[in-house]
Amino acid sequence: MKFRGKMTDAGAVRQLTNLASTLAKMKAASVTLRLSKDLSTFSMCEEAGSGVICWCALEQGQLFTELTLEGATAEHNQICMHLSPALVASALTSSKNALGVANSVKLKLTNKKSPCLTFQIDLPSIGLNPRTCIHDVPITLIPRSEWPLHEHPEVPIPNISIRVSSVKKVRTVIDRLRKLSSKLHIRASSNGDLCLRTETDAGTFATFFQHMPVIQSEDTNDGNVQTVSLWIDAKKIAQLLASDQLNTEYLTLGLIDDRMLHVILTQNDMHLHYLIAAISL
Amino acid sequence: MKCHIPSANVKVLGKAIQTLSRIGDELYIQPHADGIYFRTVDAQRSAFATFDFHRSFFLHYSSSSNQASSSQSQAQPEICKVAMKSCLSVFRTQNINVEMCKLFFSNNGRMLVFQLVCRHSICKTHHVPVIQTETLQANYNKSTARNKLITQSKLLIDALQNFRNNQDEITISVAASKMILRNFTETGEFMRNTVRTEFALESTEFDSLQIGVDATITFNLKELRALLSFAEACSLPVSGHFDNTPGRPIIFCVNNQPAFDAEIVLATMSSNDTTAFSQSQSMTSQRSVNDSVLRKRPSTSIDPSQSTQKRPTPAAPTTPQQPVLSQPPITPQIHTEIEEIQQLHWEDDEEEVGTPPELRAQKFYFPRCFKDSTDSMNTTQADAVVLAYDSDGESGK
Repeated sequence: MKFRGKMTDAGAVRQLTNLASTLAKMKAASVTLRLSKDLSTFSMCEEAGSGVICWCALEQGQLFTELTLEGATAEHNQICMHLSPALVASALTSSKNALGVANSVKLKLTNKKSPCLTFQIDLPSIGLNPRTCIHDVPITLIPRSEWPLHEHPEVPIPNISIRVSSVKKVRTVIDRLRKLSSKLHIRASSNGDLCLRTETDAGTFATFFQHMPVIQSEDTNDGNVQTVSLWIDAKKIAQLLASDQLNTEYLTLGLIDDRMLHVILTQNDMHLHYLIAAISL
Repeated sequence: MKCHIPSANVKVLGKAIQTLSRIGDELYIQPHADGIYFRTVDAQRSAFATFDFHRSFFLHYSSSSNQASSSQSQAQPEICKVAMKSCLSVFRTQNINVEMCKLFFSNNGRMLVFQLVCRHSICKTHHVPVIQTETLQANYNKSTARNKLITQSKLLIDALQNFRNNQDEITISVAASKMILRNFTETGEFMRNTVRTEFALESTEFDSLQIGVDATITFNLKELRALLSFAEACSLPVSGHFDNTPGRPIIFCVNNQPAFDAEIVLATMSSNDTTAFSQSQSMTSQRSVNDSVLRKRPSTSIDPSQSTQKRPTPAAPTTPQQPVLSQPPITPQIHTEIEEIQQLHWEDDEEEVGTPPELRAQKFYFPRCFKDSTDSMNTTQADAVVLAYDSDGESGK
């Protein structure tokens, strides 16, 4: 198995660093990185053995200017590994120093007493030659038999999908509602209304957002406003928004009636998907 | 001893004490004819720091030898050891209003007084009790070091940014006009949750890098970081002196002649061999060299517990995977001076010539097992008295 990639775009390095920091903040025990010819996919399972709940696929063309990849076998031309996002984030923060950003960041799969992902960073220096900083991040390779466990699931098409641009506002509201109760009710309508609600013994507390752009909704022939709602664990969505280090431009909330909430954080072309299962009252 | 420090230098003194506080917990203040030494050593005796403030640093300086005082205080300088935390609190606030700082002893040498004379006739006085009258001295020689580097502190701070804060030790290798910094990892087992980092710097980046001999040394990062922050605050270059001889310390200096100079001496581990055994060997030799390098010379009352204290391994990483370093066995090859290290004595027992060594050791530890005392005929009256009942029979567990 061989992997060699060179990143020269500072923006790409920054994107990768932000993604690694976000995943690190989610306190996932282990994150899986899948490298294929087209995509680098980071995915995360909630607990060992359960399905993937969070993933982000980055296009290799955007990250790397040069890429060499030889996967496990010819038909399965992929490399799968477990790594710690916190270590990747700390390795990538070296890509900036007082004199400027790195000239290039090279990633390599190496075996120095144990498999590592080596980051070789060329930094600008006062002298003639650039300074090189090499970080070896230890990884665990995943055997091919376990690959299916780490593939992200097929998400069913949501009933309604709403785009939220004011991420900060929604995050503040969710944090406040979370203090009142652990369960959060989300309701979206096809006319662009979003309602976040909690219920406690003291009363019902709801925040209404209006005129949100609706990305997608099921067509109803009779022209009635279609409403989809579900209850979720407030802590999960609060934690997701708290770990966001991506400079998210907008959120996309896909609701599947009483089953699942599909959250997509988007920054530039990078989409981080997160699935939150609905809970019963 | 009595001295007055002008306002500009109060900040420097404050920063110096902050740096010292990051290294040790006790501050040794030793006035001498030309100035005052502020020194400290860390708990493991692996780092020694000294700040020497010369006469020109002070507005007014008089050591006790100039004072016409009673014969007692004239006989010896008023040296002392005080708690670092107390001195730190004197300089904690920003002190922009301080016009002058007076430093002197009171109460017959039992109290050290910091008096901050501030603007608007405000005067803040801190009385710091003296713990002990003791000097601290280290034997080291900077000039014999064959490798020397001089650089602006920014360069090293930048380089150290790449090493995470939780990494305690760093290895620097110099060869062929290049310096490589590496974080130190235990070579016995590869740590699965640490990043191994390597950072290369060309000699052109330094103000000066003289490599007399190719060297690879490992030392603690915390104290170096403290000195670098001091150097950056004062905008002064840092110089380093080291050698390749195993166990020789590395010395970092910040010079601001004629006002003051600062030096920290850090114990090193020569990490040329990668086997665990040789590591434990080098740690032992390091510890013994340290003991000869750092010798406390108490002048008046000696605290006996301190001098007989067993010195733990210097610069040992405090990870649980390191049982070999905590209690290394003393091997016959260590012939450097060792002060009071408790040894596992397996001396020849003349009375028992002919017994194999294992049995000898067992007899030392388990004498009763070898006594023919197990049959009931030999039990004395004392043995028959039941001192405690069986715990099994008592409570119904």
